[in-house]
Amino acid sequence: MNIEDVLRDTLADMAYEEPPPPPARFLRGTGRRPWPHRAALAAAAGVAVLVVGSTVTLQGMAGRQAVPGGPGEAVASTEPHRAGDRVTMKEGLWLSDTVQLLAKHTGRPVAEFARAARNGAALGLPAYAKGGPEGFLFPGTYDLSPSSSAEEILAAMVTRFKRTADDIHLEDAARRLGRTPQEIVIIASIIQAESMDKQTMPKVARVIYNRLKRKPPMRLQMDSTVLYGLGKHGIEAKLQDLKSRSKYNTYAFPGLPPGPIGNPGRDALMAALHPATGPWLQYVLVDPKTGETEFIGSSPAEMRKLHDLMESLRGS
Amino acid sequence: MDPGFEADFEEFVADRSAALFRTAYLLTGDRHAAEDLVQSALTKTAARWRGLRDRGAIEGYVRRAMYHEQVSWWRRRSRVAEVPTEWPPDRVGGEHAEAADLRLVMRAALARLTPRQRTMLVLRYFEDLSETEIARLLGIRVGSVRSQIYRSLERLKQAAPELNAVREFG
Repeated sequence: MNIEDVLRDTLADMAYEEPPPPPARFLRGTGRRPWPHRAALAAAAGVAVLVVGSTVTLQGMAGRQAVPGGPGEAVASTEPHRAGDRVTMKEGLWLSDTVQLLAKHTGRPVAEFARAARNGAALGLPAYAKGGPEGFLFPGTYDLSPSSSAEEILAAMVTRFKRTADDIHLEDAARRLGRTPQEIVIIASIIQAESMDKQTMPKVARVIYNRLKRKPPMRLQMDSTVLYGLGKHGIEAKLQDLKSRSKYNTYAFPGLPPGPIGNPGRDALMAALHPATGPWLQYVLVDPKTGETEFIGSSPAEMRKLHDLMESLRGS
Repeated sequence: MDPGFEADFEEFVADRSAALFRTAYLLTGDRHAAEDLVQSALTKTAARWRGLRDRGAIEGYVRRAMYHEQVSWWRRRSRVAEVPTEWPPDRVGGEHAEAADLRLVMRAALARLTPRQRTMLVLRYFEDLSETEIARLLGIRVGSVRSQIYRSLERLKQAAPELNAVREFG
């Protein structure tokens, strides 16, 4: 057997290892119409995505929480991997960060991306996004062609979101949970921001659902939403922050925040659709280094456990 | 939009998108990238659809768009020394590598080629195009197709020394 035969066999094997997507996917641009709108079409053409195999960043959590520490450190960790004009958008990145990064990598003004981001219809956003791209710019590795416009780049990210939403049957699964697709994306964005790793995501999801379902309603009290409302990166909200009057302050307002608080990846979306089963109402990050998180229910015994845990953390 | 056009386009996509996707997957080695590549090529074709009088030539046009787009990355990226690979080539192999192991080694080695080298090999060894056809498709000379294929095969062997066990290439 010579090398050419090995090559032939290898290529033939590989060609059949990934099932082709349904043809309709290539026809579907923006929802109802089988024929994509021009902008969505242009989008796919504008940004080609390379060959990165498994390097598409799929670490289970937002860069900014990966490194506990001061704001300076946290900001640095949102820096994407960079090689040439390839850029990796990490899970959980905010729209505002995304726009900055794209501007930096393309050398075009931030305002251009900000303007494009405001024109939701041209980006091919799903109707349930209500025109806002936050939450719908799918993380992953993108190659930016010098000729693609700001709108095309953002639209390509939206296209990936829609493909993923298709793959995981987001709309059907949301209906079964009694949530709108937009609520799922909001919940996924919170899960993304709150979880240290992929394993804890379904449990964080459960905590959110348990709080939302509780009677009388229990506030979410998630620091990540408060900080998002204030435009601050970090893990822990300060007492001062909790006084914020922003609708994203889930200590002050019941229910979900008004929109996604970042762009969740596939794992967080899956967790939002398939939460773990359990009585938990809160969790404590035991070890920021390993991401060890303790989930706690509402029984007196559990509350005692929480108390002890907090004591031991304070002591350490 | 012209309804006849839409129907034709949908029919074409229904018939051919799976095959296009397979090729795109080989070219890119990544599912997302493959979908983007197909989408992009279809887009370019749709824009010219009415100008294409011979509807039988549609697929040729789409494929050309795919190859060109993939290869054009190479032009801009010729300095990229190595495409990252998910399987270091030394993970499998050994002196007595079986056929299946050889294919794994080959995959890893393929991931280390430039998009242009990879495209050449896919056209030659998966699409079974002749060197002349490849030359016409990419708009380059036959001689340069020949030398690039040769160099790509050499590079494969370099990236995966296990493949040197299969010496009698030629």
